[in-house]
Amino acid sequence: MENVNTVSAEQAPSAPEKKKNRIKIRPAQIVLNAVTILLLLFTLFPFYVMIVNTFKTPTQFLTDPLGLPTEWVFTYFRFAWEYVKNYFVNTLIIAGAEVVLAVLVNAAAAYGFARFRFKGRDALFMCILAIMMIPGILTLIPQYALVHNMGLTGSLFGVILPQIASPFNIFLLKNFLQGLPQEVFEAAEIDGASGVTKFFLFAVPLSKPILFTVGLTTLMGCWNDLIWPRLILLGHEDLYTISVGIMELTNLYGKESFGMGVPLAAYCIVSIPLLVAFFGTSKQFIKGLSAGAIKM
Amino acid sequence: METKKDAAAVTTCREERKKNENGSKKRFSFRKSGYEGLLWILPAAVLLLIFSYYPPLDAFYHSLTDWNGTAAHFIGFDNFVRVFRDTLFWRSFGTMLFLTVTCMVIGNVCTLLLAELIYNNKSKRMGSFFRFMYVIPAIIPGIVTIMLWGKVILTGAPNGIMNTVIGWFGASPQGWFYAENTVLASIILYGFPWMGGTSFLIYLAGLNGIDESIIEAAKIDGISTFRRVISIDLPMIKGQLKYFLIMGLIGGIQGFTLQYAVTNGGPGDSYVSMVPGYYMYKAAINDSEYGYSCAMGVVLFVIILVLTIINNKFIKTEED
Repeated sequence: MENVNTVSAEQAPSAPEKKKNRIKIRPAQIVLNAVTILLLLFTLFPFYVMIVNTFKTPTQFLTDPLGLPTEWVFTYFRFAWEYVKNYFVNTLIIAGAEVVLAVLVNAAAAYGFARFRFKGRDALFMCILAIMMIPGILTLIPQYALVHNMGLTGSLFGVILPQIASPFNIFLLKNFLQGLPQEVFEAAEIDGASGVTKFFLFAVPLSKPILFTVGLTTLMGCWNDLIWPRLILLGHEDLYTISVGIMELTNLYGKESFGMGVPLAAYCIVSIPLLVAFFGTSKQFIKGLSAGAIKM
Repeated sequence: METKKDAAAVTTCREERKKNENGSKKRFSFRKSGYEGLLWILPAAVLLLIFSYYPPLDAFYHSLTDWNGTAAHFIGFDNFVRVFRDTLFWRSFGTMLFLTVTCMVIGNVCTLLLAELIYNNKSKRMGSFFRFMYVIPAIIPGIVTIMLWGKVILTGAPNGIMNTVIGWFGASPQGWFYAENTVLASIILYGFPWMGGTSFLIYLAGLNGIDESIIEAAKIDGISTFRRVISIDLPMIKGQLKYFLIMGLIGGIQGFTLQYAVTNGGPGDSYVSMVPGYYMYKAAINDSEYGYSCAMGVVLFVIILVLTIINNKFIKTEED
């Protein structure tokens, strides 16, 4: 936002000059746009393949996988939906629980670090940051054994619990909270507001943008996670998430050589909800995603 | 409006607070001591202790045992000796290094190119249109992209998309993910043109953060766009480059999603696309060799640690 302002302020006096430039630059801009569009077509090509082949007859898929359907088939969607609706429910439960809990737990911890002074606070914070240095690969197997011994394999809790607390999110939120005007909190303190009141009345509303980022990255992580949920849920078909279910469905159809119609329809269906949400909130979405990483 | 009011309230409150503090200085109050902060941290701390601290410590301990998932006996450094002698592990390590470096270079060059394309687009409307469209691959569930590339585009079937495309040029169909000679190429090809997603947003944010006066000065000096990219843009977004270098390395060393979902480390039993992460996953989950798996994890951990330290030192000396 600040950048935009400085740009317009600087360019304002030299407006006529800028016009001249524009005419000069035009061919270059056309090439630039053409290249970007061409690359975009390549980028979205897999999804074109996904959509057109969902509607094709098996014979057309075999002979002409790239063209548009000559005869439109809609039945795959009905079959796919039977599988997918279950995956949706499970993923929504996991994602919902994880996002809410991750935001609450991490924000609370960040609040504890940002708003209170106590002995050993910085050392404790460093201990939490140190976790980021441990590669997930070292953690994966013993974590699985741990969750297994807790009796949480084959349960959604086993998927959710280990993914709530995140050192990186605590770090992000703490930085943000420290950047807030401290006077607001001090004033509330004098008024006798308790910590809980201050947290929900001031800290949470004031840090909405960063909470949105944390919620969004948690949601995306959840949506895309494959190895961990499959490890925990494999064999419990009624609990499959989208990732696990799609992989199992594809393998099933591949093994029986049923063709790719139903899996492709399932891919289309599972892609829809987040896409719709994205179309509605793309501005905040893009802002939220860029905000998290710039802080590094 | 409200902020003004707040500010006024704050100053009066501060004065009051000073008075209060002088009055009740000696009594210990939990609320004022700051230890209330610990209560706020507690839920996260407990979860991190159980799920983030305990497992790696457990891995260190069990790397010295023949743990099979239930019983474990102390066997000293036998697992580590085995890791160093395990040719399959080191072969997969080489494969991983090759894939990590190749994919990292290609991926970063391409996302950076995209960021520059959008940054240099004079039309604001086109800029935000492209930003929107190129994020879409990140919105589609990751598994869908993997399955599309693995089962539809780069399949060995004659009607696979890639085989159809190369067929136009008269080439014979290939096995792609499912043939020894093409599996690594397929892993690299995966995601072509390696631009969609959210990484380019971070580069773009870095480019947008460059002081406009520097760019203006370069324009007045008549520097070509290419020269500007090399001598102004790249140095100015060094922070982002460093971030992606570290993240790419750490992610590449550990990652095994494609192996897990598509190649199984093969094709078949060939180990051509095997990487250490998947090798250790298989050792534990398929063969119940948890102890050995933990030892491989520890070796990978040490390697990542050393690389991170070297990376930090390297960047630091460069800055001095």
